[in-house]
Amino acid sequence: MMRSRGWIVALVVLAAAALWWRWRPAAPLERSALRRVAQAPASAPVPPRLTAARAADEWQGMQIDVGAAPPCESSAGCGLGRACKQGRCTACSADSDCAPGEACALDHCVVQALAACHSRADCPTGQLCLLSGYSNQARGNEDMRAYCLDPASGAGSIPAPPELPPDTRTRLPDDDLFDRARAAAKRT
Amino acid sequence: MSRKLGLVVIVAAALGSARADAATGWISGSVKLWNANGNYCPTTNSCVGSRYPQSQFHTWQALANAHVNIYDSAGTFLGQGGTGTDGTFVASWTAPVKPAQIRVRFFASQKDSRFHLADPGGGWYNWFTNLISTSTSSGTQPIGEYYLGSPTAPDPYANAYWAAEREWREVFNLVGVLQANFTNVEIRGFADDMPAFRGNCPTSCAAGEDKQVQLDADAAFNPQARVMHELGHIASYVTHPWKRTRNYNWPNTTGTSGWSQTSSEWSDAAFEEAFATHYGNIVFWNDNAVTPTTCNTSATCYSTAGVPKSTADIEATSWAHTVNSCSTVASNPESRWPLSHMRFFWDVFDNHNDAVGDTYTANQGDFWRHLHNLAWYPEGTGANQIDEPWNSTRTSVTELDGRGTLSYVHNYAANVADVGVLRIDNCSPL
Repeated sequence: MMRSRGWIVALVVLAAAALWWRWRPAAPLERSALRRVAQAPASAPVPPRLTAARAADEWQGMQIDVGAAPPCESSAGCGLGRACKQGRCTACSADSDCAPGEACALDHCVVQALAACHSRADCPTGQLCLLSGYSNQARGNEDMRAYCLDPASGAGSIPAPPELPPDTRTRLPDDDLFDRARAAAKRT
Repeated sequence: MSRKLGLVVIVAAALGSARADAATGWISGSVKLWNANGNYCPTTNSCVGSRYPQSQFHTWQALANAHVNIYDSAGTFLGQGGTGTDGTFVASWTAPVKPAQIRVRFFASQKDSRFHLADPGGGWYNWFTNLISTSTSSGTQPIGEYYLGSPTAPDPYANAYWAAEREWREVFNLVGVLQANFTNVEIRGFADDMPAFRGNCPTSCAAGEDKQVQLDADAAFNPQARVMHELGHIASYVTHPWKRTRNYNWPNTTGTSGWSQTSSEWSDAAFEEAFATHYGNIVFWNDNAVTPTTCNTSATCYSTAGVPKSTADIEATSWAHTVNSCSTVASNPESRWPLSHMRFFWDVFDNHNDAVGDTYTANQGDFWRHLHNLAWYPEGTGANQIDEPWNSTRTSVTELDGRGTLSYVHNYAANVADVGVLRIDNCSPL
């Protein structure tokens, strides 16, 4: 009887430990410090980019490296306007590869209302179908346009650059902590 | 049988739970670099029209429009995104099983593949965060601000990226032919000799046909004369490919050594160097600038009193009207200086009338045209054609003053406007 009670107590303790481990509070966020990459992996050999095939007479910008494809469950969950195919974020080849409301243009999923072309075949002779660039939001195509470009065109003047308030701090919020950590490291 | 069935059930349950554990998360943050790029306009000058005043120097600037990747602690690739012009980003990650920690890498790569910076061996340069514990709550997890370099140790790659990105966004991106053709440019830094790349080029170099730029060991923090200038060569080439000559050092017909703002050069070389420099000049100067400069060092181009140095002053007025104020020293006439070609380009662009007949302003409606003009050059080796320096079979250079400012004026007149007087206003470079 005593022996079975011991087993029960042990099981309860184990279960409690497992529950705590599963639901433990998150560790505090890492400090906002960056370590500069000195050698690895920046100086490691870079595998050749495996770009999705695009006809030679199409625009050659923003080609997708299909060798670098993160996992996914749906196209809406992919960044940089990628399509989710076989569990990987990669180039689309048809509108149906993309999330609802998106079209496939130059291997990228573009919001349908912003897709004036899918390829140069949709553009007047002498023009190319281009992508305007990724947004900085999660899907990456929130304001990306696919548009026909006449290479003999452009802006009439340089607009004034946006005025961003200068960040003149020379000390950052965590610098005191880093200083103390460095001093402690020196002492040891 | 029942034991086998039980095993199947257990395996199926395990697979099912693994599937159910697949997780997606979102992170947000921002990244900045300590800007130590020289060539700003110092506070000792009035800086009318400056797009790079001293207030931006030695401050934190956004790592704008850069590529961002997300990994787990083992280095497995989980997601990707890009920063905006203000350096902020939101990106998602997905993993079969929720990782306890993730790591973020910021790449010195323009997120739309316009250009990227690599080390001398070709590795794509990047910076990485410490491991970040993933949030247990739903929604976007803020990971904070990140900083590249410091006031005591500014990062050369981040600084070169800052200059290149501004040149792309504020100049190249406004010209259709460059939107179409300025793609996938590789910039490697920082070493004088890269045997597997462009070889030995101790003051940086570029190859338009390969879309490659090599930055020398001292190129960091020297934007106008280095990364911006070299990217200018790429822009010039992709606007209208041509067969380069590499002939410098007038009157020597075999010279291939370097040039300076005031060295004597064949117009073929001087024009190309000036055009490559002009792109960067208009990144830092608006059309109403009064004392614009082009620098050849990582410092500023002004005296301590705020006066432009003579060899950097692109608005200085020398002309042959009434009194000829152009230097006519036989061994080094001002018409042979690359600086004279640069001053011509500046007068085509600017809205500051400082010389006889200087009333034209490309930036008041014709901005893209004055950079697109090369694309209008006819194919061929004849007068004012794109390969004018070459003989008809392109086997030898026969006109070292071909494809110079005179050709630019001719083709601009045929397509946009007559700017011939601006050439004369600047000592008549050929």
